[in-house]
Amino acid sequence: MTTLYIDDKEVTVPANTSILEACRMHGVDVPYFCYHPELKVAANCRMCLVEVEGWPKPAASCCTPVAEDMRVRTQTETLKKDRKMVMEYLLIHHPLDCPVCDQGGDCKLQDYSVEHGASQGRYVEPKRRTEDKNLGPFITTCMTRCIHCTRCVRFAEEVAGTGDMGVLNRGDHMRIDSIVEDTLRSELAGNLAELCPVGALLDKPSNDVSRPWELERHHSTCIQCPHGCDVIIESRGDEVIRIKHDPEGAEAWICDRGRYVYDAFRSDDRLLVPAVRKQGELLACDWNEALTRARELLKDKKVGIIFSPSWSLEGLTSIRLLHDAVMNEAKVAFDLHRRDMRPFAFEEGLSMSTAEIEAADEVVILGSDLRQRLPILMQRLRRRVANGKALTRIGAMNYRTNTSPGKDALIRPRDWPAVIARAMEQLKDVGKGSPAMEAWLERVPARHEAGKLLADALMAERCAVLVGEEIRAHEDAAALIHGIDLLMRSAGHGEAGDDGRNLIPEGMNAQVLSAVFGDIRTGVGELLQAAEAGELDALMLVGSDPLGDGLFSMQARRVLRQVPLVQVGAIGGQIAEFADVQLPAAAYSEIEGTFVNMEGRVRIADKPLRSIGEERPLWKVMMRLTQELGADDVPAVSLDELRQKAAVFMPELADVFAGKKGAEWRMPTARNRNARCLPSGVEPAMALDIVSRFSMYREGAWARASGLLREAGQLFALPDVLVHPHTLRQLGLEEGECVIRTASGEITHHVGTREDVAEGVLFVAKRGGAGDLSTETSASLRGV
Amino acid sequence: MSLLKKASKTWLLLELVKGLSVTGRYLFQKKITVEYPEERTPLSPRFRGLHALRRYENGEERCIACKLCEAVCPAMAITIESEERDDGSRRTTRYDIDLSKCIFCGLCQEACPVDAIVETQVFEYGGEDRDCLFYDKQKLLEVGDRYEAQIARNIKADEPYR
Amino acid sequence: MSMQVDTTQMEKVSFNAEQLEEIRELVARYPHPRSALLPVLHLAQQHFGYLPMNVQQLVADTLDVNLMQVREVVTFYTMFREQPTGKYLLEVCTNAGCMLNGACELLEHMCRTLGIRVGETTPDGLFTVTEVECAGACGGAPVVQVNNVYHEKVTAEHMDQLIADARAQEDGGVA
Repeated sequence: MTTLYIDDKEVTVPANTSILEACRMHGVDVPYFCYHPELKVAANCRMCLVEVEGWPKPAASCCTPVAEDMRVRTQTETLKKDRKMVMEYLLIHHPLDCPVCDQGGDCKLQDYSVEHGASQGRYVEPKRRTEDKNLGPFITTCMTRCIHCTRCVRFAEEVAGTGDMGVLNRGDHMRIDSIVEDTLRSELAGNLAELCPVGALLDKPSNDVSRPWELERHHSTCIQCPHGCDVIIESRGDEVIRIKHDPEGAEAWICDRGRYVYDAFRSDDRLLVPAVRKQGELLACDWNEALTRARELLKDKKVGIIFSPSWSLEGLTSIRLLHDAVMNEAKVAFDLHRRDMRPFAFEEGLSMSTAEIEAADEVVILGSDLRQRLPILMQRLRRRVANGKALTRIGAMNYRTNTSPGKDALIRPRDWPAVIARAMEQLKDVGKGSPAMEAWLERVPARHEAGKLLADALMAERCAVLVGEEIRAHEDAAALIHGIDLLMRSAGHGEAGDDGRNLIPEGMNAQVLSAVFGDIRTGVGELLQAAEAGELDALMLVGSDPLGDGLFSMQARRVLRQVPLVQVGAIGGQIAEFADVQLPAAAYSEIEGTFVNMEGRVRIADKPLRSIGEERPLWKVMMRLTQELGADDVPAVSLDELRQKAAVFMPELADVFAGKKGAEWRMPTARNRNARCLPSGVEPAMALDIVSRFSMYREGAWARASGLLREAGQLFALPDVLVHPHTLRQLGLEEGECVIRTASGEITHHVGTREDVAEGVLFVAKRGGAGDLSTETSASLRGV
Repeated sequence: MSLLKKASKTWLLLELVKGLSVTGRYLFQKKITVEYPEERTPLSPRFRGLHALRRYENGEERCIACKLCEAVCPAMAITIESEERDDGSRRTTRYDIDLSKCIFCGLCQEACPVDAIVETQVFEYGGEDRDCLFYDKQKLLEVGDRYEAQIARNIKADEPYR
Repeated sequence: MSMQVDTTQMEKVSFNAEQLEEIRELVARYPHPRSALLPVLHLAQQHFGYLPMNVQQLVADTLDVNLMQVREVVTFYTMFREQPTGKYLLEVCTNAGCMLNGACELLEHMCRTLGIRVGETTPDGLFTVTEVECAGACGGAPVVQVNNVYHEKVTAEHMDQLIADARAQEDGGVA
């Protein structure tokens, strides 16, 4: 700790803090443009000048570390003059176009110009004009306004990892430029608009639409991935203008998926009024009529319910209450991405916080496209690598992470048992074997060298293992996860609260789902199979879209054609085509509710937007339906009652709602001590393994309803089916049309190549003609 | 006051004569009333009447949708929606003034950085229902087109004092 | 003019073994490979004549830095050229000393003789004339630097002779 004096006030800050940070910590106002707490220091705007006693010249406070007994002054006559001069320089080429600039009203340059600048400039020569850049679908530029703080350059380099922005030329000709034509290829591009202290980089979709002072700000939780970032939804009246990062949130950035999904809130795909199908056509009606029709379809029938995990905790609880009250026999499923329904040794959710993962000694990613699925966690890991810390990745593709993890292995999904077995062997060799491990090893004859990377990483004291979708969706997932659990146990990672076992969930509220539905859940596959066999009379989809997402699109399509469907949700999408009744539920921006993210962090949104149609919060829809279906007593009639019911499943929640747990409290993930599954030893039927690809721009009903994300998805799209060029060559095939044969039939489709896909893997997108391929696990290829 | 004085004031109708003498004096003085609407009083160039949206000489509308008038309006009478026009410029898609709310304070005119919204000297815009007090962008531009000469003259006249 | 390029459409170039050896030596002098950026760029410019985008990409790959970082350096220093020059690069100093000794007239004369403007290259690709700031040889003003060789106290006649000699040499070379 260092003690110094800022404006004669004694303050104590950690050693090596910069003067600017010390001032910020103690609420002393020092103006700055180029400094950003999450980026490296550049010290090129010169706005943060302060005086240090005994120093001949003012110092740039952002790059001057504090020293013992330093006497800093931030408000002197000389500094006033200096700041005025710096402002004059910064404003020399800055256009006076605040009235047409979207930053106007929320602009540092504007504020500081009023606070520190002169009322009139002395520069009368012609101003410089700079050509605008094309930075992709989300950022619009007006480079003439740029003051060269280089925040964007540092962002591209340090955060996005693309490094394709830079400062060219010097002096008067200096300008920010990018290399890649058309676009900044980053999933975090939207942050640039917030980062820019002036109006040079602006949010394209909301450009010229609103002014900062007319917007209402609603703190909310993004549900677009399990990360559940804190966001601020900015609205004008009922219309959402944009979504921004919450500066008080746990993470420093938000991704483009969470930011631009707001386009879905106002899309035509929204369900805003109840509707029933009459003579083959969906017609809007009132709530009573729709509920009556729903009753006809559901009352005393065998029903299958598939719901989306991204509803609020209260919404999810209400589904359980509906089940308990009037649908005891109903099959309930929610995980569209899980084939193996046996209990896992450790269930979905992270046992560590993202900050803990970043700081761990070793991090291992096992089969996950983190950049697409959890861009903000990936960003932390990228920073970790940049700081020289280890990152190990084993998976079917190297997933274009914009960083080189160092230890990297490409494997096919069928190799997972061999990888784990190889790691077990290594632990055995150093005397850390166990009888349970022996039993597991007996079932797997093969060994894969990638296992060495895993075993090496596990030897570290604090090791975070991130188990991804490749394992979670594996047909033998329970056995693999049991194997990983055994490995970690042997390596000394005991079962504590934060023992490094992290199973990345598919959606929000994973811990809630385990607790509330653990005893009644079935697999989506099983449910659809039952429906296909005629064992179900009706299907109720609550926000779930098994056609567009998950591993069961083909079965789902067959079922939807033959079974009556009640659709409850906020987005119609392609399911609407099959719906017999539609009951509109409110979007996550429009409800008061509780959300639990993958770390178990609990966030309560309590300042929602008004609903724009007749939609109601899901719990109200569910309770109304319960009443309609003949419950004598509606289980909950208020949010408070519902929360009490939720606390029956998760006793700790009572304290959370009472405000007794702090904001940092995290809900623990479920563990199953007795889940001792051994590998089946069954080899896939065909030569190539299918791995289904996740796209942040396309996955999930919300993303598909957002025109902005759709557009970006098309821009960044890879070919639908990808294989390694060697694999094609071995089969004697060329890139182009090929026949893909799976257990469920043959399709002819274009096959593209990429060298970052593992050999022997067919990497498929969940869309178009290739969409149904993800329902299978193996395939073979031949020429047309 | 003595009783006598009071009595004489009452009985001699002095007050009445005094009053009538004022009437009489004005009867023969020069008249200052005008016969509206045939006759009209002159108006100050700063008169704050009906609003207008102006155009540049080349026909381009001046308003750039900065929404400062909307922000400054104390009666919340102005509603603006904007978007980026195809040529990249910022323009309004909606510009409404509800004259039944407007208090004619002239702050919108003061706030406008491009002299787009101005108050003309027109004050005869009454109608038979409230709807005709609701001016949208089209109507405001029409007012501007019609009175541009007058507006320009008034702005010029006021210029030395700004 | 926007400098955005499609990096996938560039023609591939490479250093030869000798140059790679030289680069290895240069890199060995510094704690990080990226520190050798300036000398390696000089080497690349010597070899390729100028630094088009594909050469910059080559340098970036060789030193394991971003293309953008290379471009930042190349555009910052005026002695790195992104456009090709003639075989003979005539750099005329027009700073105070040289100017007083007739550098401007000399420059004008050269342009007239070669039929080009300052900064341009003759159609046969032989000569490029540029104006530079102080060359640091004010004692011999006016100074013209021809491909790294200083010519001091240059007169118009001197310059004509130089150009004629160069032309003759080229013609001879072709014949």
